[in-house]
Amino acid sequence: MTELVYGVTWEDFVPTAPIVVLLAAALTAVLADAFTPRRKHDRPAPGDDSSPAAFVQVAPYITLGGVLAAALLVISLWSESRLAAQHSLALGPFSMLTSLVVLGATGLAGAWAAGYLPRSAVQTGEYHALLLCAACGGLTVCAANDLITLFLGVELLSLSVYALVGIDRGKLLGAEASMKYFILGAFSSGFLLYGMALIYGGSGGTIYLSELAEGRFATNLTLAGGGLLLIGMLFKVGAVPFHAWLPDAYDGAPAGVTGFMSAAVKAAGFAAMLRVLASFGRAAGLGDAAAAAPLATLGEIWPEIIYFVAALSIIIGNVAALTQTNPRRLLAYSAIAHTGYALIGVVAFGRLLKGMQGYAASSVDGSAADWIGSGDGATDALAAATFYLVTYAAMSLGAFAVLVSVARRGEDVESVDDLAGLGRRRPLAAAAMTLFMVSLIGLPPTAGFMGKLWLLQTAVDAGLIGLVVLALVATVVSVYYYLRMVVVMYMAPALDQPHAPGTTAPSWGQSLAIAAASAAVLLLGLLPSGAFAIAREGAESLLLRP
Amino acid sequence: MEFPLLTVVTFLPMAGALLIAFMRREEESAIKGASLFVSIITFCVSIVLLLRFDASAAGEYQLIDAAAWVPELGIGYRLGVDGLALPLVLLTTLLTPVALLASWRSVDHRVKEFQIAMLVLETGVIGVFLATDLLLFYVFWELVLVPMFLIIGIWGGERRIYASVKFFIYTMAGSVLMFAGILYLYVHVPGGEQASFDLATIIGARGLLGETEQLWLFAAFAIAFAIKVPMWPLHTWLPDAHVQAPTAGSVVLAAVLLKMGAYGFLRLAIPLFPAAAVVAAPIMVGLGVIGIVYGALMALAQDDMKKLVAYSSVSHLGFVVIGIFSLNEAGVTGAIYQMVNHGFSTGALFLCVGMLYERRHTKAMADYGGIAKVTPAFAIVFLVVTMSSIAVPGTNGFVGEFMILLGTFTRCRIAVAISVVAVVLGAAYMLWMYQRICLGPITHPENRRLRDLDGREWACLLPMIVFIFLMGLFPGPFLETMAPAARAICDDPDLAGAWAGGLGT
Repeated sequence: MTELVYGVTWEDFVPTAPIVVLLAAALTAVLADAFTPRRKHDRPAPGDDSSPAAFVQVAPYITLGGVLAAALLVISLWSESRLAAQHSLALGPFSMLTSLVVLGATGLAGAWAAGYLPRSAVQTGEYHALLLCAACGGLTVCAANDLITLFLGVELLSLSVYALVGIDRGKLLGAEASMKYFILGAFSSGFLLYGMALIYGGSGGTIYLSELAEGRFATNLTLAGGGLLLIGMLFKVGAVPFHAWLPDAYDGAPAGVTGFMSAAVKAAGFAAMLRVLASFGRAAGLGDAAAAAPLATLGEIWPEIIYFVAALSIIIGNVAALTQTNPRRLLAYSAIAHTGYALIGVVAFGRLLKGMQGYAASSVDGSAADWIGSGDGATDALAAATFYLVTYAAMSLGAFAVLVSVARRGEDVESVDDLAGLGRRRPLAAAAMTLFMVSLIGLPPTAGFMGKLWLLQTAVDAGLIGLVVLALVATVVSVYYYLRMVVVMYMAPALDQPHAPGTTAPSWGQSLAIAAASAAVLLLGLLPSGAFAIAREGAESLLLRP
Repeated sequence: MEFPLLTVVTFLPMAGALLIAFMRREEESAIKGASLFVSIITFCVSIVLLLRFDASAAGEYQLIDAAAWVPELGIGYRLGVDGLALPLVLLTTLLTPVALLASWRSVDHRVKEFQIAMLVLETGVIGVFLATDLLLFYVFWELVLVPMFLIIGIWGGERRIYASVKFFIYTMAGSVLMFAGILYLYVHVPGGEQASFDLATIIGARGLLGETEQLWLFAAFAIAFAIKVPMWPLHTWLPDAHVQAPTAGSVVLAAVLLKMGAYGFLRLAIPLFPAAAVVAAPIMVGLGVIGIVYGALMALAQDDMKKLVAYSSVSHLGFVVIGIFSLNEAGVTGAIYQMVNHGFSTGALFLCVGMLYERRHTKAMADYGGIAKVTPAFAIVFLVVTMSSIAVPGTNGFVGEFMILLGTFTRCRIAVAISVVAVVLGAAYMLWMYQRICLGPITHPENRRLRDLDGREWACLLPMIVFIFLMGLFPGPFLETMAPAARAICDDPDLAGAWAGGLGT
């Protein structure tokens, strides 16, 4: 453990460049919005399809530019495992991969705003600024090494998203959803903060996960703190029984925002959860047996709790989705179900962690090298969960990109049945939607299949046959509601009303978003090796490397 | 590097589908022409495959194409062909152009999507027959699902949505069980560092499985395949799917897709879990016999031609199942033979029914009668196909059924006795259908103006008739290819105890 050097140097700032760039882009969006004469991009009259003001057309480029620059910086600065910025950031393949998911979601959400926002009468400048702020928060969460930085990231992300959910001020449902999400979210932030405080007190004053991972400071207070932290994070990812906010927030928000939430908020939440659990696991394995005992106890308990959380999420998510008619609400319950699938990887990780040699609770005499040497299975589970999130982000973003692209005249699609005839009106969008639904079901040759394959394989390895069978049975149930979209698009008689969704051409940004998501879904499904390797390196750097 | 013949056969249709995706949707005849052209080229390539195939070593994989696909998870891209896969691949490549030709006029909307779906379907089916890696097999297996779902659901009849969703969910329910089994095998056999989805590797290490494990895994695979075959009592999706599907869909479904289930038994379930297969064999034969009788009785009761043919499929595939689970060379060879036979005879029956439907837009037998006088050519072809379905000596059906019954006779005489009764029932429902459609007085004046077969329809039916007689009169060359493959399956030492003290011996 190197001592911290007080006094900030230039080197401390360099690794924060991606976050700074996003912040700069956010400020640019705000300022550009503020200095554009007001009247030009005010809410257009209903039915006014005249070309929007210059700023509205430029704004997506600001977001895309910022995201692209941030992504390049992430790839160049964050790929190597190290602590940076006064140990408040832990960089490496894991941070890089999860950050790229957040950036991808931001980029797509920025792109599909072109042609979507003016019609929904949403304030363009605010949308893009909030989106970029949320991305800042997301990146901070993905890379945070100390609990304060983590909390700041979570709050920046959450506050931006609360506002985004209610951004369509004319819409009552949006305001309600935003309020609900805010109140419940603030509550869960309380859990997070209280957990952090207990860990801080219990560990004798450290907030650095990298130090906690050495297992020198654990006490029973750490155990309680860890539990509270876990609850806070389960809330953020929308796992049952902390999921009540999710359907309302997804439903009330404009489809463009919901798509961003489903990918970015979930990825960031899982990134934080995996990092914290990996730190605790490492501490329990490597730490001094007496000091790490509370963490070992925690390590005994949490997989069993998450086992039920995962099972309930899968069951409730899939069953509730069966009866939904609103596509956003349907995808909301599907998001809960997919959270459950991803949690299977987390449970498998916990189980395999317990099985590692020299684990403090079971045997005291194992050496650090033994422990690290036996970590293949646990690393795989961690990596599989990470990879699953990447695949879920791609397919969910794709589905929302299609929903955004068929929205018309400031109205999102409110019923699955309204998609009738889309196969005729917009064959490419319908084909893409079919691809995303097939991927969400988890059929080859798509990303969803590869994600599930790896995830369930590690679960079988961990002996979780029950959860695997549950997940597979749930998959069959999910066929019904995912296929309904396909059935409606291609087989139901078309509605010939003039305002049917998808009667207008998509904007360049929406086409780009659909194309990018389709490419990602196919690429991850057919050639997943590269992403596998990064996910595995990331998991190794979290768990096994010093 | 050798020319990757198997890869080309498998992915040529997919490549054609991609090409068609870029064609303009208005140019319907160009799209139809292109897809027919692609499927015929695929057939020609498969003929090259036949010529390069060494029949003397038909029990082993040949012309292997292997590459790493996802090495991190031990997934390999491995294709190979043996005497079991070869006839089925040829059946697929022959019947796809026939089905496309048959739907030339009847599919008149969304032509582009239809052609793409048919070609993707062909790639999926050929891939299933050629894959020698468990996961690759599963990928192709599932790849078949979506295009078939769309074919039934978009171009089908009145209740097409119900039928297509039922088809999808039924098949999916089976295949997720198989998926769980595949994952279990991957993790536990041979496991650890050598974990791989390679079929040969897993079969080589199957001894690591305990008896109970084998039984569970066999059940997981067998249910997936039994749904696909379909075996009684998991057959209920089939009549719905067949009745609602468009002609091309029915032809491909009956002739090729159902074979995937029987093929799965022979390629995976039995070689992977021989001991469990031995235990399950009496049950499977029992279910097969029930299927034979049940299918025949149900077929007797139908008024709808397509439904009758669908139930006759259940009956015929019951024969295939008892042949497979006789677990001896004669029975398994007969089962493979019967799989191909059924492809031609039932495929041709669906073509005939489809042709009648195109003319009169009704599938009820009561709406026909006496049409032999109006359309003599059709009546003759239909008679040949009916004879083949009944398995009259001289047609292909006879050879297959005879071998199956021969193989089963050494195992279980009761099963044979019951099945033979069902053969009579089979003759009854088929001839009765023929009589109600073609013979007697013309009861409906509309039928007096029916067109006889035109050139396109002859082109569809002629290959079927040629093969019906070829396989019926000269079974030798066909059996030479299939028998070694059947022997390779049955020579498994773990199958040696098969049926010891079994039923009726």
